[in-house]
Amino acid sequence: MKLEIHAPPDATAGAAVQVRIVLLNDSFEPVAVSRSALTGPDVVGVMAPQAVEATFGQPDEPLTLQPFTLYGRQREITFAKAGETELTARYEPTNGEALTASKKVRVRPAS
Amino acid sequence: MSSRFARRGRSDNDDRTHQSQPNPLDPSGADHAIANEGFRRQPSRMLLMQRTVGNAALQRIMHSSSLAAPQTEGYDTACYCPMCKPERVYTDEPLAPSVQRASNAHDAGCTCPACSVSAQAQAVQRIPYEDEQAAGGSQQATQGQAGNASQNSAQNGNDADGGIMTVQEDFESEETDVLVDQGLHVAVVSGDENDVANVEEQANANAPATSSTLPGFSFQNAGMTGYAPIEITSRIPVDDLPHAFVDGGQTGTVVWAGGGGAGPRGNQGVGTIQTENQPTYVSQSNGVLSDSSAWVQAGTGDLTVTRSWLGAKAGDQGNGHYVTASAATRFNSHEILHVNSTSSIYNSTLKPMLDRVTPYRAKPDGSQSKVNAFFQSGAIAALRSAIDWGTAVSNFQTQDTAANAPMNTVDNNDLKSGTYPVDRGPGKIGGVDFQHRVTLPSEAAPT
Repeated sequence: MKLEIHAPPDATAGAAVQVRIVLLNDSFEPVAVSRSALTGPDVVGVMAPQAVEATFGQPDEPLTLQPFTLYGRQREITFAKAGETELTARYEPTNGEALTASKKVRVRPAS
Repeated sequence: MSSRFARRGRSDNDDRTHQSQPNPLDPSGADHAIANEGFRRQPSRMLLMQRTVGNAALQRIMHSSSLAAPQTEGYDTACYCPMCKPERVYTDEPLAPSVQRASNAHDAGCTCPACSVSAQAQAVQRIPYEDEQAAGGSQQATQGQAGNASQNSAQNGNDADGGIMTVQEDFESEETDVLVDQGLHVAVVSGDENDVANVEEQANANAPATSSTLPGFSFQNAGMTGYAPIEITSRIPVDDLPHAFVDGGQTGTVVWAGGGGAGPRGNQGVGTIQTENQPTYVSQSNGVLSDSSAWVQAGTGDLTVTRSWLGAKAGDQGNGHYVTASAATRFNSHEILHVNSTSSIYNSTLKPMLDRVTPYRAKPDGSQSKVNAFFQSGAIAALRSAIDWGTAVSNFQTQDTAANAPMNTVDNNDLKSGTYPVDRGPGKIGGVDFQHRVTLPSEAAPT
């Protein structure tokens, strides 16, 4: 399994950007995925509710990821301050190895 | 020496402790006023100077009458004492002595029997402040007594019986109240009265017992003062206020009622003290053979810390966000965490200090506790050390900032609690599309 964050390397303060997190089954075997175990994308250092699945905290139907298929989530994020900001995502299944991913985005000042 | 203090304490304030004679080199007396202003700002410097250069030299610095031209009246022009400078006088009078002293050739401190003026140094007396000048007649009278009796204590620097010295606490607390966007487009919604009552009731139920309901406490838990719409983006707070979470502000693509709004947050900056009445230390001399006493002037030495906050309101936020009732309550409880944290820090830093002030604050019957030392300045220094106002205020500000500033201890701990609201993303609620559905982690996404 592989967890990735897809986001533009640069952004402009005040403008929304699309950020996606992708959980990829890069093995040759089907894998059962708990969608509620996938959280993010979230911005580090911001007191905001975590981005989760609608079934978060509730019993959810495991999703079977076939080999080299993916499951993900898209969120629209607006960076307010210029500088370097870190995005994170996390996959923490009840049974199994936890995956984390992070990516830094350079935020340019608004023109 | 006076120029040194001139650089440190130049002021328009003049010397009001005595009537000084004009200095020929400085008719305005500004140098002495400047030196005295330096001592006024730092009374401990006066004591240090007194111990270093001696009382007489200090008098010459403080009093223009000492630095001015020697007093001419009362001196015998034929004075023979070695302190005075001999001067050869040429005159046409045949019987006049060739060597004599001009009236201005006397040393300012000449005490020889030939001279009728004994220019003894005056006792060190601190310059009264403006408010002391405006004080009642009794205080003015005691200052007069000190001046009249100053010669008795000229050499030991202690005022005579009844002399009053007052020093105000000069600690300057940090200005941490950076309220950049407070009041800007914060949509405070009065809302339904029942909702307000419910949330306030919840807030009061969670509030600590050390609230404003207890008289005499100087920490005021002002509770929730209104609502702020919730919007979730990655905004990093720049207003230095405790935030339940960060507001989204105006993104440029989403227009919503209220403009650049704010989520639940504190109304006061972290580390701020709303009212601070620093103590004024008063010392009275009990005579040269007794210790001086010091206490805190009545009506001074108190402060108030107030914390209030804007809460969350459940339902449609009007900006694409929907917040469940449980999540709104949870946001509000987060704000109460900040208030409780500040209250706890107050109780551990400021309250003990205020408790130390209380017994020393002047009472009408004079029964307050006093700190005694030989010098008045020493008594005040001991009292200041015992109260330690500056350290307590500094500790409060440091600890409050460390705990309650955005993404510091309180925020991080609450995020890790597992009960902080989550964003379940887009969905329909009651047939209305929302980009963000904010709920508790334990509750199902509303539909």
